[in-house]
Amino acid sequence: MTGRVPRLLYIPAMIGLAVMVLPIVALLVRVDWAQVPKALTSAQAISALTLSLQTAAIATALCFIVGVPLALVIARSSRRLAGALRAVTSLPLVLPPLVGGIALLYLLGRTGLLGASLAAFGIQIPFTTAAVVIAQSFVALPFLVISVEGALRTAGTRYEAVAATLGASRWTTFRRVTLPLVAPGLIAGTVLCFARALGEFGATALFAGNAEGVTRTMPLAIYTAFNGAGVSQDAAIALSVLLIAVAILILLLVRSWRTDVPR
Amino acid sequence: MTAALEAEITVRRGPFTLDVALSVAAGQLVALLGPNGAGKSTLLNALSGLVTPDRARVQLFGRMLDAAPSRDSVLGGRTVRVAPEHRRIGLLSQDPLLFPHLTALENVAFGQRVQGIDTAAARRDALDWLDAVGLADFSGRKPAALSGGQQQRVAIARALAARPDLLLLDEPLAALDVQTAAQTRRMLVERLRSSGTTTILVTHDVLDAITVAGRCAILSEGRIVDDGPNETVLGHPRTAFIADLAGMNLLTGRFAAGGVAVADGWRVHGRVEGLGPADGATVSATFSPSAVRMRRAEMGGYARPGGADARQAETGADATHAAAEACVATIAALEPAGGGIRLRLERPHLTLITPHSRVVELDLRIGDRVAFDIDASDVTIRSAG
Repeated sequence: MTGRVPRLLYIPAMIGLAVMVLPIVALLVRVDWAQVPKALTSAQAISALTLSLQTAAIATALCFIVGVPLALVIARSSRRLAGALRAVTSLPLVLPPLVGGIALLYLLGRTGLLGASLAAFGIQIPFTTAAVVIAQSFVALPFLVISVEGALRTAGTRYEAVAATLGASRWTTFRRVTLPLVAPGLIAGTVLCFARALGEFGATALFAGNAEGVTRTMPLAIYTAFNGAGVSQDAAIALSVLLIAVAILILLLVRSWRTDVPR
Repeated sequence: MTAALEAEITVRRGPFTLDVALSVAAGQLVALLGPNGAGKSTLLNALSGLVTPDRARVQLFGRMLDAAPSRDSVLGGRTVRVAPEHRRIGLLSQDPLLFPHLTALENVAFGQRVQGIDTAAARRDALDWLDAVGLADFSGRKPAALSGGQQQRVAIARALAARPDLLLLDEPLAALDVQTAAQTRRMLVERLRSSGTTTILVTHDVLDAITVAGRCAILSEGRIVDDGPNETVLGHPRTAFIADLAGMNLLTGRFAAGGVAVADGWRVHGRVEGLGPADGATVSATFSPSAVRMRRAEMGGYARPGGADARQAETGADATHAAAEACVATIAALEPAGGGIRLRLERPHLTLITPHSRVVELDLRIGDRVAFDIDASDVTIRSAG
């Protein structure tokens, strides 16, 4: 049975939809499709795309390695501790990415909290590709943790208890029961994390800079092109179309994987 | 028979304290009965290591699973807490909890696989177990494609395939419909007997106790209040809870003039079992709900010697009236029962079963007053305590 919606509510609902869709439509209308192939095959575009895919993939892998255990710790903590950990985890989510970038500079910059010690060993992180990966991980990690933690909490501990009474150790239970049980949340979280890393701009711009081939990812390339410093607005639009295409592809993938979501 | 399980467990949860000592022989099936909140599930969880007891001493086939140094022990001793996965204690609840991402076969093979038995052998064994529960044809199905009853049978196979030294069943049939429960109960009894698995079965259903187990332990408010063969515990109920469970009426009072003087001031006569108790001794009277006759109170009470009669009335003229007064109760509930309707009476607390036609004929409602009578030949009187 479909629920009944008061007719009046359709008006704000449609406005809300328009707020999200119209800008994209306006962008797509403005595209000079003849120029797109040329813009996308330019050296700068390919360099930015390659860098973006590589850094986002590494950042996602890092987020997965630390995010899944963190999600498990939060999900199995006492109510109070879990609440505190969850609040900390969502900090990068509510923080403007620019502020995140400044914070990262003060942590890992040459005079930063850890950066000073690292500099002593000759390790410099800001304005390197590593900085891009760190900035992306910083903003993308909450997406993975929150998604996986929610799935873990929904799955509960009852299956794990059964596995234990059948003789499975904690590690075996984690591998063979817990992870498969939360697979949909795991995939959704990973994909969202990757999408967020791919689109990351603010923290990267401040912490990693905008050096072509080193730190100029797709969003930075679009910004540069749009401001006329690089190629042209057409190139910026073409690159934007590419990012939109990637984003839609990701959403479709999540939907087809998540069998628990009604279609 | 040697004792397989020797357990002394104390668990405190706020105002509730579970304090139980239980010993189970190898291959024995014990039914654990008790009202809601008696601590049955807490006991099973403590035995399986999922709940940390405040104090415990648990030994299973000679292996020490839990040992806490007692405070007054001079020697102290060391604390032992074996993790759930190393206890070899299986636990099955009313929810089958099959791993949804594994097929029926993989679910059953899970226990042996994680215990290090190679895949092929574990799968062969799992298939045998699925066959034993009548589900060999469903081995490739995921739990979602199985009915509730089938899922529970797979869960039973999974629990047994892990070869537990002790199997804990927490109301395994409670979620199944009557017909499926009957089939599953039969299958469960066969499998438990043929595998010789030492089992503790928690149940609300006295039928489980009678058909599955030979021994009954009654848990009430965290303590075992009765424990023994079915015929002793259920046939001679010692508490109102057990009597209710066994479908029997139980009244306690002082023995006087060949009958039980029940607190409310009336006396029940019956066959005295064993040596006749002394006058004034605490005794119990048990009788089946179908041994109770009743009619509307307005139609007059029953007053015959041998039945429930009144406190000795001094004058003959008042005797009939007094009996009628004493043997009247209020209907608290009407429930369906095999062969009629069960009337739950209040003041005094009694249940009786009467044909539907009688209830219709008398137009009985909750709150109505009825006069009742019990044939002395249907009443057994025993020393209580």
